[in-house]
Amino acid sequence: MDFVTPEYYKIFLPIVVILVLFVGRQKRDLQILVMLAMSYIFFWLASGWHVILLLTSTIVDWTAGKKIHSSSDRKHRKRWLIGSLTINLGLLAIFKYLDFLIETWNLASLRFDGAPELDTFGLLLPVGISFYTFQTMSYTIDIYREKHTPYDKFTDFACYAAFFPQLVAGPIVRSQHFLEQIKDPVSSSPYKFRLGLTLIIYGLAKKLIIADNVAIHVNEIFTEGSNLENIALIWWGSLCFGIQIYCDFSAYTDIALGSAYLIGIELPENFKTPYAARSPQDFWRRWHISLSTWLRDYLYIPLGGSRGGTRVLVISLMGTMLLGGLWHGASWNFVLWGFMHGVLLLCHRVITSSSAIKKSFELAPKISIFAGWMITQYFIFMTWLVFRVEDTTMMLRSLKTFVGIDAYWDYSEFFESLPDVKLMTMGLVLIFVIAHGVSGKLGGFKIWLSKQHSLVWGAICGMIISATFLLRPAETVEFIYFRF
Amino acid sequence: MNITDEDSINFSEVIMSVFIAAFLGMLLSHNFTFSLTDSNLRDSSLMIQSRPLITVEAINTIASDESISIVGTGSSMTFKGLDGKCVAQHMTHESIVYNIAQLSSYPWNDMIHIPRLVNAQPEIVLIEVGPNLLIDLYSENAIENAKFRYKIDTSQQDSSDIGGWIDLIHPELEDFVATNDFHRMELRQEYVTQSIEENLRRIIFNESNARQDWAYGWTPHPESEDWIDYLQTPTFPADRYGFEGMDNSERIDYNETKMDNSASYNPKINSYGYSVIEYEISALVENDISVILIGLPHHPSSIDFVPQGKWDSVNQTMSNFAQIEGVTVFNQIWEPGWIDDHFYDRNHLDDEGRIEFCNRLAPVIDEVLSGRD
Repeated sequence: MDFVTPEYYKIFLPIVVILVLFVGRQKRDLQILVMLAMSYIFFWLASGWHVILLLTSTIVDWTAGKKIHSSSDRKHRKRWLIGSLTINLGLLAIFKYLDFLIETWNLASLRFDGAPELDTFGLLLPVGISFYTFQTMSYTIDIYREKHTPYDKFTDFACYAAFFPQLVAGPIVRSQHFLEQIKDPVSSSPYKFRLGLTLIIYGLAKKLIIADNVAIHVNEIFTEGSNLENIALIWWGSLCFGIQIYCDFSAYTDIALGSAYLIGIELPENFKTPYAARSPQDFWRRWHISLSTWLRDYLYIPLGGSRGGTRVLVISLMGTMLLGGLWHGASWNFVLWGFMHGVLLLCHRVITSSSAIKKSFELAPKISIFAGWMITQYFIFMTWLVFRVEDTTMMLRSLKTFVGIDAYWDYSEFFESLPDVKLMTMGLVLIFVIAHGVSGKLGGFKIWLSKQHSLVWGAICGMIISATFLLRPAETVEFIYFRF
Repeated sequence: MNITDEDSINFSEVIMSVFIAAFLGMLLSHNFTFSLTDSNLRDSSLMIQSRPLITVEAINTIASDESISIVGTGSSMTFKGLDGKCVAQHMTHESIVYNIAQLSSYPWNDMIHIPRLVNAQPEIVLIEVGPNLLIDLYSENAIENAKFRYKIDTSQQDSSDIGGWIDLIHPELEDFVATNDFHRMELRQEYVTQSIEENLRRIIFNESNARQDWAYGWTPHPESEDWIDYLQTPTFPADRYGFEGMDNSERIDYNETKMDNSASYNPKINSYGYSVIEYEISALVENDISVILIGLPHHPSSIDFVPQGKWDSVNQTMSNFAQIEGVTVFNQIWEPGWIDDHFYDRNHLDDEGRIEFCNRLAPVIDEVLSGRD
């Protein structure tokens, strides 16, 4: 089950809303139990027996949190922290990275005589493991740092770790944020309920109309046998993938936030019009915010951050971005993607510190801002090629074409290479670009809509529902971040 | 109209707004789904042929026709073999003979139109029976074709079309048979994006995938003056005479491999096709509609290669159903007189073959009609 499965809306979500808001009304503990049980059912339907891993992670961090908090012995506390991190990262390493390491070893072993070739385990990646592992780890680390105290009840903590809207693909929620929401019996207000519905409708439209339609173009372009020397084709492919991944992932977040709002729980925002970013730093303040802030708080700052001189800055920034890239998946593509973003961030720091650049911003602020936006987005969309194109030869070819090396521009060949439905998809891309630009300037459409009169809300949402139904392609594409 | 204060929204307003959104969403979706796809499906811009779309409207036309109606159903063999106008001209009874057979059609495709056909009350329905139809739903191609036909056909139907056939739908294909309005809309929605694309191409580039009116595969609009003519004598493929242009040794090689081994030439008495034809016959005769089982001829050189006894079940089927009152058998499979010039390929008639078939069929229909008088 996921957020595009009809059963989620027909059966699962209504049951949760009824049980939490009506059956469990004003009975906090019952509400927590219901949310916990439904979250485990959701996870079991999405990932089967891997539910055991979630339970293990939950028990380990619950125990570690209690032990760390109850002990004043620094060594004892550290031992529990290391134990918790080892188990969490160990599970992540085994289920997400072990086969990748074996494959890398086997590839490397071809260069050495007599090096043994190892069999992979063929392990299936548990859905959402990267998300809930980071979430529970942050809980234990925060207790170790004495920033927070542990949860009083195991069921509260288990509910935090497994809360179904954000379990599979985030946002990564901090423990105190969640605890604040469940201190008292949860209840929704008419406004929250409507905001929840708005977010769900909006998310489904983004996913099914835009992400899934442009995905058809992306898949057609980055397939074996495609002519990747045509600049128009590669630029279009990277633009489409950038739009696909944003609409796919932000749609998941919208639906997650909407589902939680229906039962009165507020989850943090994960995106703020990232393609309006004017610098790489700005991009990371707008893209997958819950991950970037997690990486900042638990990796970048502990590694030294920007407070320890140039060397420390380079090490902590590159280390954070490389691990952030690897977090996305067991592939060198993601490591390279993270590396490229690290380089972009470092370059940005160097460039913005130059007096000439500072002066240009003073002399022609609008032009400088526009140039900053153009350059940033050019490189952001270039990095999407590394993220999307798995085959190394194809990826290198695409990158060369993207920057115009050994490449040509042929519009008619580009047009012929696209799938049958091309004009409509181009129209959707244009609509997205305009809407994204307007949203970057004004923002708050979903909140605005949620506050409108019933007729206005009903008419606009009715039209969005209808457009979603009409314009979705025949095949629904799985959420990209399910793989992570 | 704007509500700026969050607290001023109450739950009854939320319920009302949800109701408005759901109602408007359904209304717009339903109207746009059918209005966007109908004309483009009809003019073949979304499919190679638009003929699969005609059946429901053809039966509606038959229902409104006050003369004696004879309806031919079946596969491409009937489609290419039955010239309705020719048959009508050779008959003594004044009547209209319709050919609503479809390319690649099987009995399980045709059966879903039986309730509508019963309501249309034609005098006679011709049901094709042949070695290619008394089979099970076995191949990927047949399954894909059945899905396609079910989607196209059931998306045009309404609740009055649901009949005994629903129990005969293959379990693997149930999802492609719409039995309610929402499902009908869902099945048709698959063509919306292609339709929008086609319309954009017409507007921006002045280009279209639609077929010209002379082309094989083209179908006229039900409101056009060509419609009734087309339902009797559809646009047939251009004549090519003989056996797909093969020389003698190629024919022998073809017959040796295909006629003996082909899975579609293994008719069985207990097949899915047989059960479906049984349903069709009983539903029609119970409603006082006569049935003529037609066996279309095969190329004489192919018939010689059918192993002894391999098509016995076809004969057995014909004789089983002939016992039912109201059923007549017109089996040309083994009849002499069919020659090379009658055929388009191994099992489809061409211009001369259609005339020969028409000459032989007309008196049989006359006889059945006389029997009804």
